[in-house]
Amino acid sequence: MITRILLLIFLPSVIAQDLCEDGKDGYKVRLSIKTALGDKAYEWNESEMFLFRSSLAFAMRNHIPTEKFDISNILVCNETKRVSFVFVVTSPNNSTKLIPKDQVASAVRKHRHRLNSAFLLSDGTLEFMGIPATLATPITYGTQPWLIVFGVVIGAVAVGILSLLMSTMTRRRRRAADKGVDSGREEERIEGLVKGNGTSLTCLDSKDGDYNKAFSNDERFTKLLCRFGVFKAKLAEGQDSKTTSELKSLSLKSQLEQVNPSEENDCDSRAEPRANVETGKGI
Amino acid sequence: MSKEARPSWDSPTQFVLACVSYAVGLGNVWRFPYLCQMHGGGGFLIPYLLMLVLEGIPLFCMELAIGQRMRLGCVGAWSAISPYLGGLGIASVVTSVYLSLYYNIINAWSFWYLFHSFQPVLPWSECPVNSNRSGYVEECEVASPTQYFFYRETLNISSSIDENGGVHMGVALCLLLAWVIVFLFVVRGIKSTGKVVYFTATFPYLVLIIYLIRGFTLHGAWNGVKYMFTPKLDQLANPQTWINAATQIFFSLGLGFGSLIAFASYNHQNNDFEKQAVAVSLINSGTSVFACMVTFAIYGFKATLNYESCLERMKLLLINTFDLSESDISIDNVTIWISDLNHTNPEMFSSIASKIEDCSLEAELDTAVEGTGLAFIVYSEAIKNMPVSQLWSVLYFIMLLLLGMGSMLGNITAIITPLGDLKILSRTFSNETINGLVCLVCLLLGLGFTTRSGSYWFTMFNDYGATLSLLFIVLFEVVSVCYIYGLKRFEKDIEDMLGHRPNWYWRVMWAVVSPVLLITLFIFYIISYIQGGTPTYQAWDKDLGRSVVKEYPPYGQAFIALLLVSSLSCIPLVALYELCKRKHRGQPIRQRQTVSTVSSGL
Repeated sequence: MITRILLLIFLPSVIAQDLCEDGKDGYKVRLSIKTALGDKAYEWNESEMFLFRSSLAFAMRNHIPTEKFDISNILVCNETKRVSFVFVVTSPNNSTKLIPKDQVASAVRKHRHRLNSAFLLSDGTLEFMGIPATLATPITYGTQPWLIVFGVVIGAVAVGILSLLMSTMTRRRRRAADKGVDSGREEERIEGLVKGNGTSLTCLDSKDGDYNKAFSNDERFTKLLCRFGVFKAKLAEGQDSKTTSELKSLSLKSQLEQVNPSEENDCDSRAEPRANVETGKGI
Repeated sequence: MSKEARPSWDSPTQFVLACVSYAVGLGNVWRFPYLCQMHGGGGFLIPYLLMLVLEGIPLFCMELAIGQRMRLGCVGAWSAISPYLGGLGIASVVTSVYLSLYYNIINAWSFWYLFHSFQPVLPWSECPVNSNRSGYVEECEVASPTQYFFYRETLNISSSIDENGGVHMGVALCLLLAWVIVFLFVVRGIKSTGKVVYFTATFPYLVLIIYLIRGFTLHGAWNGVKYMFTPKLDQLANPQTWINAATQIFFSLGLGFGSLIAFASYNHQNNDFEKQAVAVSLINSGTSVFACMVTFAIYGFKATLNYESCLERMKLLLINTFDLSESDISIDNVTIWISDLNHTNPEMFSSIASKIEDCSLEAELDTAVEGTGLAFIVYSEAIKNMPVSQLWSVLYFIMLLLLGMGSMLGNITAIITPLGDLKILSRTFSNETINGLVCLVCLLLGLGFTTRSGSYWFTMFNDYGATLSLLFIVLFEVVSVCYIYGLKRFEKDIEDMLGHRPNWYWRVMWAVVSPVLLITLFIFYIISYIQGGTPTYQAWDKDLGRSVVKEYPPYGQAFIALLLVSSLSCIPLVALYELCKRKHRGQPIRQRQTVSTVSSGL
C-alpha cells in the first residue's frame, strides 16, 4: 500500500526525467555568463533557472496562443557546472506528450531577443544548440555612402582643373595681345646684340636645344654662358640702363665683359628669365 | 613662333621635396618591413646601409648630375651624351610607361578603401549576411572578413588569370579619379608639381608619427617591436640577404626611370645636387626604417590579438566539451589544462583533437606579408580592432594615397618631359594637351587592371615590368657615363656646375664599385629566372579561402617576355638605327666636336 502511494507520488517526476533525458525533442542550452558580463556576472542558481523556465513558457504561450503553457510544462535535466542543461516542453493538456522540436525552435527564434535580454546575454553567450539565430538585416542605403564621398572629391578636382585651364587660357590670350604691341621694338633690340656671334650662343636655355653643350670642351664657355644668362636676365628686368642703346654698338664679347664682375658669382641665385618674357626668335 | 624658357623649380627646396616625394613610396612601407622580417630583423640594417653607401647614393647623384647638366629629359640627355645612347632614354620612358599603367591601380584601391571608411561600421570588419539571413557568406567564413572584402568586394577576383570578367565599376571610377588628380598635379608641368610636393612629401610623415604613437600604445605592440629589433645575425651569412638589400636600395630610390633626370633638368646650373642626393637618399632610408617600426608595432598588436583569441577559442572548446565551469580555466593555463585533460580523459579528448590549435605568439609574428596583402589586408585587420577605427582608417589610406601619388608624379614627369622636349610635338600641341593625352591613354589602358583577372596582370607587371630592365638600364647608364662619355669629362662638368671636383668616394663608386655590384645583381636575377622554372603567381581560391600557386599560361609567359624585351631592346635598336643613318649619310661614325653641334634636339 505504502509502496503504491510512494510510486504514485514519484511517478510523475520519474516520467518527467525520462521525458527529458530521452533527448529526442529537447534542446541543449549553454550559458556563458562570465564571458558576457565579466565582473558583473551573476551566479546561476534555482531562481535563475526559474526565470529561464518561465521565459520559455512565455515564448511557447505566444507561439501557440491556444494552449496555456505553465512552468511545469518546461522540464530541465542534465545540469552541469558549465551552466548547460537540456530542456523539453510538454503539452499543457497531456503531460506525457512532448511538443515537437520544430515548434519549440520557431518559438525560441521568434523570441530570441526577449530571452537574451532577460539574462543580459546575447546570441553567442546564450546558446541553444541546434537553433540558429536569425542575424540582423544588413543596413541598406539608398545611395552608397562611398559614392557620395567620391562625388564630392571628383567634383572638387574637376573644379580645380577647370580653373587651372581657364587661367592658362586667359594668360595666353593676354600674352598674345601684349606680344602684338611689343614685338616690333624688342625684335630689333635683340637682333643687334646677337649679330656679333651668330648661332653659337643661341638657344641657351630654350627647349630648341640647338646648342649641344656636351660636345663643348671649352671651359670659358661655361662661365661666358652664365654671364650671358645673367645679362639676359638683367635685360629682361630692365635694370641696367646701359643695356639697350649704349651696348647696341659694342661687339657681343665686350658687351658681356661690361657685366658687373660681382655677378659672376651670382649666377646661381639669379632667377632665370621667366616664361612669359618674350625674347624673340634668336635666343 | 617664340619659345618659352625652360621652366624651373621655384626653389631648391621644391626640387628636394619632389625627389623625396618620388623616392619615398609604397615600397618603403610594404617591402622593407617584409625584408627586415625575413632577414633577421635589426641585423638587416647592416647590409641595407652598406648598399646605400656603395650603390644608392652614387647612382642617385649621377642621375641628378646628368639631368642638371643636360637640362633635357632622359631621351634628350642620353642622345646628347652620345647619339647611339638615345635608346637608353627610350628604354627608361618605356619602363616608366609600364610603371605608370599599373601603379595607379594601387591608388585606385586606396581611394576605394578610403571612401568606404566613411561608414559607421567598417565594411571589412564583419562578414556580410547571406541571402536567407541564417549565417554569413560562405567565402567570408572560410577566409576572414578583411580578405573577403579585398578579394571579393574590391577586386571581385576570378580564380585564375584565364578567367576574364567585366570591369569593376567602382574601382574603375576610383581609377578615373586617380588619373584626374595626377593630371591636375602635372597639368602645368613642374609649376604645378612643385606646389603639390610640399604636401605629398610632408604629410605622410605626420601620419607616420601619429601612427607610431598610436601603434606603440596598442596592447601587444611591444612584442612586435622587440621581435624586429632583436637581430638574428646568422642571416647575414645568407647571400640572399645581401642581394635583397641591394635590390631594395636600388628600386626604392627609383633609379633608371628617367624621373630623376627629368626633375634635375629643371634645376639651375649651379644647384648643389651632391648634397641634395645624399640628403634624399638618407631621408628615403630613414623613412624605410621608421615605417618598419610602425609596421612592427602594428604586427605585434595583431599577433598578440590573434594569439589571445586563439587561446580564448581553445578555452571555450575545453569548457564546452568537458562541461567545466567558466572560471576553472583562464587564458594563462589553457595549455596546462590541455595536457591535463589529454591524460585524464583521452577518449573525450581525441574527439576534439582535430580542433585543437597550437597557439604561438612566435608563429603569429613569423607570418611575413608584403605588398598589397600587407597594405590592404593586414593593416586593415589591425585598424578594425582599434577604437575609433574610422579615423585611423581614413588617416592610413590618405597616407598610402600621398605616398603613391608622389611616386606617380615622378613617373609621369619622366614621360612628359621627353615628350615636351620633342620639337614636333611641342609645336603642334600645348604642354597641357600633351600631359592630358598621356594621362588619358594610361587611364584607358589601366582599365584592363580593373577587370576580374586584373589583379593577376597587375602582379605580372609588378614582378617583371620594371625589375630586370631597370637593372640593365642603370648598369648601362653608369658604364656609359664612366667609359663612353668619360669620367674625366663628367668630373669637369660637375666642377663647372658645383665649383669643385667630386672627391675620391664618388669616383671610386662610379667607376668601379657600382658597376660591379650591378653586374652581380643582374647575373643573379638572370640565374634565378632560369632556375625558377615556369613563372608562377598566387591565385585566390574562393572555396579554400586562401591563395594557391598557379603557373602562368603560355600567353602569359609570352607577355612577360614581351615586357622584358620591349624595354631592353630599345638600347641596341636605336644604336643600330643611328649607325645605319650615319652610314647612309656617309658621315663619319665617330665625331669629336670641340664647339657646338646642332643636334636633332630629340
